[in-house]
Parts: sequence; C-alpha cells; structure tokens
Amino acid sequence: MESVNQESAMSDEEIVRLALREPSFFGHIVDRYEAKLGRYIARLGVRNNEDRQDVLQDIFIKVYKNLNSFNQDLSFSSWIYRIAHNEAVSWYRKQSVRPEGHLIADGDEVLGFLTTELTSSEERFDQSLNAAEVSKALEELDEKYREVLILRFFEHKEYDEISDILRIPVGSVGTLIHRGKKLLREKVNTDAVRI
Amino acid sequence: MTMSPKQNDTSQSSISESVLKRIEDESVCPTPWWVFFCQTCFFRTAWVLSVVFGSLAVSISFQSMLHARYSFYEATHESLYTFLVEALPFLWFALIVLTGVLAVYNFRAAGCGYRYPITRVLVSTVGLSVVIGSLLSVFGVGALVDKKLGENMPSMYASLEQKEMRLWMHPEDGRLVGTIAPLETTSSSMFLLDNNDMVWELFVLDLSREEQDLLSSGKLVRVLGAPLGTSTRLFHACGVFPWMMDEPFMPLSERAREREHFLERMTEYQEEVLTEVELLSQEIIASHDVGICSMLPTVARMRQRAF
Repeated sequence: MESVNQESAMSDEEIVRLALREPSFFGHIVDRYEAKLGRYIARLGVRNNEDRQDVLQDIFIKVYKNLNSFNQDLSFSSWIYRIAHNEAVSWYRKQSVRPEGHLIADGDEVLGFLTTELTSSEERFDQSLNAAEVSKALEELDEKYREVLILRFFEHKEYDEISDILRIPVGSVGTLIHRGKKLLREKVNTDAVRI
Repeated sequence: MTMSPKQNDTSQSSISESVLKRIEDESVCPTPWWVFFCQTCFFRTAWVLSVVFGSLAVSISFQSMLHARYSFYEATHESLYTFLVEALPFLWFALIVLTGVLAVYNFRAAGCGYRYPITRVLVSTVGLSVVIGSLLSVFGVGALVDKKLGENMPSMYASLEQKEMRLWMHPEDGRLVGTIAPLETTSSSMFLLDNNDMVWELFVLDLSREEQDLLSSGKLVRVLGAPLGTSTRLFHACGVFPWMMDEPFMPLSERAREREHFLERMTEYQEEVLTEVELLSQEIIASHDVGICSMLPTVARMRQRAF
C-alpha cells in the first residue's frame, strides 16, 4: 500500500530515471498514461479498439526506446503526447484514410468550449444542438484545427503544452484555436439551418 | 520505502504487461543518450554552418553589387535593366534564401526551436547573416572568396573581375582591356597588349592628354572605341578608363568621378554628331575618320536616351 502511494507521489521524471535503470519501472508510466493516450488517439482517429491497443503498444515501446531523448525543458506529459500524436498520425497515414475522430466526451464537454463566448440569442440557439452534431462538425474540420481543438478542449492542455506536442509556435496555437472555433461554429450553424 | 518495480504490482494492466513483455522479448533498450546528443549537435552545427554560408553569400553579394561597374553600363549593355540582370548576383541571392531556409529548419529541429515563429527565426537568421556578411565585406573576405572561387573553379564560377574581363574583352564590340605594350609610339598611335596577349595598334587622336597619360602609365586599362577592320588589330580609341577591379575597395567619390569622366567623354561625342551632320552635308564624311567615336553604339544609346 505504501509502495502504491509512493508511486503516485512520484513525478513522471523520477519514474523515467528509475525506468532507465530498471525497465520494469516503465510499467508505471504505461499505467499512468494508458487511459489518457488511449482516449487521445481515439479522438485523433484510431477508432477500432484492437487497433488502438496496437498503436498504444507501439507508442509505449517508442517512448521506452526514446527515454534518453526526453528533454527536461518540456513536461513529460507533453513529450509523451507528442509521441502519441506522431504514432497516431503515422498509423492513419498507413491506413490511407482520412482520420475520423471518435470524440469520447459527454455532451457538456463537447458543447462547453463552443458556447463559452456565446452571448446573443442566435448564438445561444447553438447551445441546444446536441453533442453528436458538434462531434460531426469537428470531424469535418481540417486536421490542423481539429488537432489543436482536441488538445485544448478535450485533453485540457495549455497553449505551451500544445506547442510542445505539435511542435508549432505558441502564437500559432492561439491562431489555430481561434480560427478552428470560428470554423466549427460556422459548420454547426450551417448544419443547424440545413436541419 | 522504495518504489516497487512493475512486475511486483498485481494491479498492472494488460497493456503494461504486454509492453513490458515486448521490451523483454525483443530486448528493447533505450537508445543511448549520446545518439540524441549527437543529433542535437548536428542540427545546431548545421544551423551555425547555414549562418556562416549565408554570411559568406551576403558578403560576396555585397562585393558583386558594390563593385559592379555601373559607371560604364551604357558601354556594355543596352540599358540599366539588362546591366542589372547580368550584374546582380542572383546565384548568391538564391544561396542566401537557401541557407535561410536551412537555418530555420535546423533551428526548429534542435531543442525547443519550434516554439519560435518561423518568420522571426527566418528574419533573425538572415539578419544575423547580413550583419556578419557586412563585417566580412569590410574585411575583404567576400572579395577574397569570390576571387578564390573564380581561380579554383574557372569552369563553374566566374569572379566579379573575370566577369568584368569577359565583358570588356570584346574588341568587335569596341571594348578592350590591356596594358601599354613596350613598342615605339607616335603622337597618333600607341600599342596595347590585351588580356589575351594580343598586341593592338591604337589610334589615340581622340584621347585626351589625361587618357594618353593613363595609357602610358602601364596600368591595366579599359579602352572604349571601334575596331578598324576585322582582319587587322587596329583599334580607334575613344576613351581610356582605369581598370580598378583589383582593388577591394573603391570609395564612392572615386566611383562618382569615374562615372562623371565616362559621361563627360560620351557627351563630347554626342555633341560631335552635330558637327557630323555638318560634315555630312559637306559630303566629306566618307573620307574622314574623326567621327568614328560619335558613331559608337554607346554614344548612340545615350543619344537615344537623351531624346
């Protein structure tokens, strides 16, 4: 019991140091990130559960191989998300399909970010849209916008973390989020009119 | 109170198990730290080299732009535009752009360089190259590299001086470069040893006293004039100008004087055309060779521009 408490109290960086000496410690990293990364790559387009397990395994093996490249200037979380992102992207490129996200989130989470800045009655109308519509609209968005929106609003990452994960300047993160939200609102509104 | 390795933990997930199993079965090892260190060093060195080459390109570009002979462009080209097309160092401009792009790529690939906007990295890198390149120019590095490249790779690269020489070694177009030949001179003719070691007899009646003195000084000079016939090496000289391509720095005042002298001489011939018309009306022009200079293509171009 003491050991489990101690594990949870340890930082990722400390576990990485231990894992470099003793591979079995790496299991703690896997446990910590399995669920988070599983959800993340599902949102990025790895929908099938078996595929997801395979991709997750590949991600963790890659993480283990590259443990020495972990830069202490970054947070470990950003670093491991970056690897997960790259693996997911190369996975769906190998499949030669456009990534179709599978937004594992409840309606509140999906709508939450979209309605945070809405004030007019017309905009409030959007709030009545259901999560599925927003998810569909998000899936139709260009990949570059979708990636930042997922990281910001579903993975709750800060701008500098998104910058580190996607290897883009912090300013670009802000721009992509702003434009992405605007495009998403437009898509949702268009769909609502069509309906 | 020490943390337990994962295999002793009964709550481990299937992914964790399979990952650890794969690590063991496939003998997966973390890549040594020095591999990543070398990678980072490679990108940083590549960035530094990009800046260094960019600086050299800037320095040579400055050298080419500042030392191109704008003073005589009417003598060598149809217009200032065609002169610039030939004189501007586009190859080096392209290299500046290429090194800039490479520098941005390498900067972003090393460490956390991706955090900075591309434009800022590009502008600061090219800016750095411009600053270093300017300093190199001041110390004559650009001129030296340009000269050495021309000497060592003559089939692939022509230095500014070599290009200028090619441009001016065109007797059929009325341009010659050379030094006075140690042969007997008269008041109307002198001998010039051109850059291809050919001796030309120059008719110097149209030259000013200063030009004749410059020619006699034994310095390398450019001669503007007209060949007399195609089979003989007789050349009617209309102007003599110092070569001055071997000097790394030419003050602006001197360049202005060079231009002034050239324009002054060509204007004299432009004005001579009026006399030419008079001579024509007297039908004596056919037997008179004094008007050759007023009919130079250079003078014609300048006259055309004046109208």
